[in-house]
Amino acid sequence: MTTVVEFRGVDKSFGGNVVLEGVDLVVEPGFTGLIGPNGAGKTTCLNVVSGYLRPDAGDVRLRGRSVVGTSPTTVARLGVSRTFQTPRLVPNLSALENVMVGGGRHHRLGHIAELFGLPAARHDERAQRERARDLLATFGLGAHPQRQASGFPIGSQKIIEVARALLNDPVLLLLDEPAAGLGAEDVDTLVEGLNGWTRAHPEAAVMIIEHDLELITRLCPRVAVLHFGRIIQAGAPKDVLRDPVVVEAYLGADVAAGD
Amino acid sequence: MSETTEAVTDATLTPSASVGGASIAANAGAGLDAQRGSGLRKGIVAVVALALLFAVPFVANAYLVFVISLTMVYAVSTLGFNLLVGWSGQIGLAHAALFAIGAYGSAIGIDAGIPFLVTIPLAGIAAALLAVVIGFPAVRLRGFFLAIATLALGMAIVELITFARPLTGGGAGMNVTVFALPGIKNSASTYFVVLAIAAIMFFLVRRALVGRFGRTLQAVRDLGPLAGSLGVAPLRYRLVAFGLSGFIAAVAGTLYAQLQTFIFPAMFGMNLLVPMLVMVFVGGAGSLWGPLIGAAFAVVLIEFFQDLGDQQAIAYGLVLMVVIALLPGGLTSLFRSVRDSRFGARLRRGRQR
Repeated sequence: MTTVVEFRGVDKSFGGNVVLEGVDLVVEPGFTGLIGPNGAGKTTCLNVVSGYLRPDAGDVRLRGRSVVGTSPTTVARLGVSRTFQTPRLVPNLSALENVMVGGGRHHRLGHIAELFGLPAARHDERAQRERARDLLATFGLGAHPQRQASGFPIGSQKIIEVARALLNDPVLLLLDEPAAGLGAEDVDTLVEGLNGWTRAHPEAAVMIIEHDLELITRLCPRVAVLHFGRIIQAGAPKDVLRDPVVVEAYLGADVAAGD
Repeated sequence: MSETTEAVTDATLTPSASVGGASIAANAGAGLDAQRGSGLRKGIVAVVALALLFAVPFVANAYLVFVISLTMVYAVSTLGFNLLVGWSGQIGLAHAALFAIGAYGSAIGIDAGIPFLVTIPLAGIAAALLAVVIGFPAVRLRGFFLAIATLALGMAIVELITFARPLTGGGAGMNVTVFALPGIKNSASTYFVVLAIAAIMFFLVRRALVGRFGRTLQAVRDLGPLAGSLGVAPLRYRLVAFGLSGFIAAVAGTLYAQLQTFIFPAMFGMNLLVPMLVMVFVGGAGSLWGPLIGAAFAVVLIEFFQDLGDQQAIAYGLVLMVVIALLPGGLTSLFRSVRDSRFGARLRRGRQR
């Protein structure tokens, strides 16, 4: 299998605060879970791949090409899509329009065509609308595509964000706690939708940050554990989650912290 | 890099953090799909409205014709200001100055022998370029700092106009050669020109905003730097918003000069900028038809406050504060909440019966 993204010795600190230290991680097509206690550096990892943070040392390669120093816009256009811990939608646009906001990778037309609504732009618009509608339906939100995004519960807003990310046809999808705040049924729909999507896109990789370990076990054949900015274990979930070091560092710490 | 870092962590960790003018604009404007409604019905309404407006000079007195012309000029100007403030979430305050560029550019152009209708796009393009120059540093700033920087640049432009005495007549002002459509007397002719240009501008801007451009602009407004993860270049969109709003301001300015027939720098100071803000927020920042409503409201206010002289700006400022405090989504949001309320639903049911 071809590697989609590779971290090589990535260091990152904010002031004197070391957040990532020598992170090595190879992400292959399919699902990879990224777990660890709060503050372990999981979201920082995503920010480093998606171009929002520049690592202090080390390299991040997307399909062999270094993305260090590349702008978030360019990284997205190379095929990296992401969602956020707290959903970031345009509150007064409809669900459908919010999904259509994604897909920047496919934008080939300049501002002129876009501003004057030239035929090419209208054609693009129709195609995007159809795809966005399909994606919403895939994730069980096909019933009210025209409803204003701010009118949806947080869980649904997170799913709309996933659909928006997928409109970009990513080669690498980054999900930051997609299941937090979702009901059990919503989680099932999310899992089904994501599974369906990866089956249709076998070359794409999905990196998931998640505290819901059951979801991680369900989706991810591979999981990596971050602890104080270091990868302390990686492998199949059933082995990793049984590893005493992981239990001590992650589960133990969480229980102790009352999380 | 450290600034970007802060922006990202800030935006990621605090969901309620407002980005730029987002907090003002976010509650304005329903989903565009909802606003779009049925295309046919909207088309009929537009045609009827245009026909009614076309008939005005034939039935109304000169004063009313002037007032309606002025409303349309302000509506066009607000179309641009609303694009910048409401849709892109940037409180750029050089709008009155760019409006002045249009007025003076057109008047000077006509004196130089360029036909009035040609001066409209020329002044528009000049102002758009100037707005991009102003926007280039401004798009990197946010909120208060953006407002102050653009306000200062705008004031500098008006000072330059005053200073360029040989071209502009300085503080004493200059006469504007009024363009007349062949065979129509002056005031009616200006009215028809204003109506035609306003209709074209509304059509074009609406077309731009209901599609991907308008959506992306709102995403850039509400997501800030995080919009980059959607594959769009946030700063470029914010800069294009500056350029477009400058173009539209100047087009409105050319019409304003025709309407006033005499222009002087003091017309384009605070006494214009504050009512311009009133128009945006009364109409509803981020709405499509708000500019028209806001402009009509402001013209009534202008007539009302005329005797206040230099105290006008204070009166507008008070109105602005009251509107933002009581009706953050503007008058269009008031209509919308009535429509979406049970009362509105009952009205609709009653109509169908």
